Amino acid sequence: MKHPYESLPDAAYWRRAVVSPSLAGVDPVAPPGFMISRTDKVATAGSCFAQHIARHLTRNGFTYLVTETAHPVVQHLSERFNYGVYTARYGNLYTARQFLQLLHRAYGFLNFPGMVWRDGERFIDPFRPQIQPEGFACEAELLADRNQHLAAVRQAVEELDVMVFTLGLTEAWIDRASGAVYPLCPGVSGGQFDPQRHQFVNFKASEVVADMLLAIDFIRYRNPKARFVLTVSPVPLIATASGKPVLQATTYSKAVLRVAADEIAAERAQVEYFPSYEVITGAYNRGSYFAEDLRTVREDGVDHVMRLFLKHFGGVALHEPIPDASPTQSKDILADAQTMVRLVCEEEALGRAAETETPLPV
Amino acid sequence: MALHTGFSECQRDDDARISNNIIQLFGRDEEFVIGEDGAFSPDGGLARELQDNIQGSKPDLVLFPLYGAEYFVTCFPLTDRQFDLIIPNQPLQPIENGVEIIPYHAFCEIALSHYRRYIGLVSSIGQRSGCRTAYVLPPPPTHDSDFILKQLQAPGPAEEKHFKSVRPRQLLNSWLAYANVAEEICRTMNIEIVRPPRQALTPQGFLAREYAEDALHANSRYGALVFGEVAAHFFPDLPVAQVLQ
Repeated sequence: MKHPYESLPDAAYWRRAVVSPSLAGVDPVAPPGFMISRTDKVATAGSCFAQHIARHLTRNGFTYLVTETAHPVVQHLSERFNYGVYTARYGNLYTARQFLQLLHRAYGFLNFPGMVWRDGERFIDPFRPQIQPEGFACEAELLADRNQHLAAVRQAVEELDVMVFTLGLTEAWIDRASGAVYPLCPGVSGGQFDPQRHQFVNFKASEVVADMLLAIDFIRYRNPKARFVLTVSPVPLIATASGKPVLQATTYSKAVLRVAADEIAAERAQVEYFPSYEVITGAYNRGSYFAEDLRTVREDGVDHVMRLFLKHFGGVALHEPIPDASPTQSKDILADAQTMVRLVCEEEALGRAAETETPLPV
Repeated sequence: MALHTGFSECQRDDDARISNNIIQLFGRDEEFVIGEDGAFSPDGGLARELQDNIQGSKPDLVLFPLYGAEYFVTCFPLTDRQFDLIIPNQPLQPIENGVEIIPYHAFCEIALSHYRRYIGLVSSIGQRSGCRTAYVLPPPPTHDSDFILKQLQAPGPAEEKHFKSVRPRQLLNSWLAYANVAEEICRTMNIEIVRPPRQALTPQGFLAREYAEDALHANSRYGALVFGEVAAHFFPDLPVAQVLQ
């Protein structure tokens, strides 16, 4: 052997792996260390993109674990009240710190008494500010629902076989006094922004790694069989408070999360990285997996991701033809695709705030 | 002085189904029964008939009693998952073991979808007839845990399980949520609302036993109390006896 590159597989070569295959044929997934069976209970959490996982797992006959379901009396309103969007009704967990905080709150290691926002007649849970379309009717209801929710989180931790977690953001706002981390800046979707109280943070890779390792260990302590799949959301930041231009801030955030994901997977057994980020953002697709807003992931992109996910983790070969997309597709098709991929994203509130010219706290 | 009591009487096929006799109506136990949904669309036959009668008799007041406590028992999906609601501005009570709190606003959306239609019709008939119109809230449920099965004839196992899981407090809170929604709709539609008389209620807000015909229905004594409230509120200058004539 002259050199190690001589015997490398096609996947190791850019031209063979990225340039030559058809759009739908690009497959950047390394053989995972474990498989997911149809009877494995799969929990999902993380940023908006994680919602696709649940949808496709269910569609393909896998066991999507939901521990917080709508009561039959209000069943037909379950989507509006965010039941089943994730395994429990925690909304989007954009940062690793939020995930760890949720676990600690669920088991009583962290408690933030009085952490309730009031907006007129609406009571908002700062940790799930958009979990109910009109907020809660009173503080007592919010607290009762929060207790139920945290019980559902405990149940998920103890019952899951696989947790698929999508790392979404590094930017967050925290409460200086208590250290509580919010999914959304106070004042955007409830609460009042107070520069003395609320502090912007932009987590480093080392912090993300530390938080996720603590979270994984925390779950494994209670559920030793738990396996993890980490993904990084390909969705760019809708806005940044870092002071940097949003494209630069997005690159930083995604780079940190991507590095962290590899380090976490290297640190713990039965933790795999799945490259949905690469499938959507890879140069091979020339941006065609993003809709016109350059943020929304089109359904064909999601299909590509999930086809690979199910192939590599589920052993499922999906043969549906995926048409090659091109940026010249009509606006109607793009609009349809966006409609199909309707996600629940609190972060969108930042965009709405900007559109209505509400000054965002920085 | 004439009053018209709305839908309840429309359901009967006898000659007296549209009646102006308030005593007769409140003396019956059917006044809080609702009819089949299809009958009450704004252009439905009963609605037209009712409006014709109201316009013909030109009453001083049209009262609509709709929805009874039985609604909260029979109209929910069959389930053994017990639920409750936390009602704003009501005294807090401990949450019982195994009981799920369901979102108040979600529950109210359901109530709203049911009520809007009927109260919209009330409003429409009131506007078309030019009569003063009021909505009479149904009585709350009684505090009786055995009543539900007694109301049913030969329930199946699933029904029995479901109905056994319904608790008086859940019924009362469901009633309170519906009452709140009804008040809000009536306020926006400029319809006056008649609440259950305080003296007919227990301190917890249930219908007191002496005013109950059975676990789900009020009796004629209750009707007389409501009438007294109506008379005092809408015809304060007239003695009750005169109103009754």
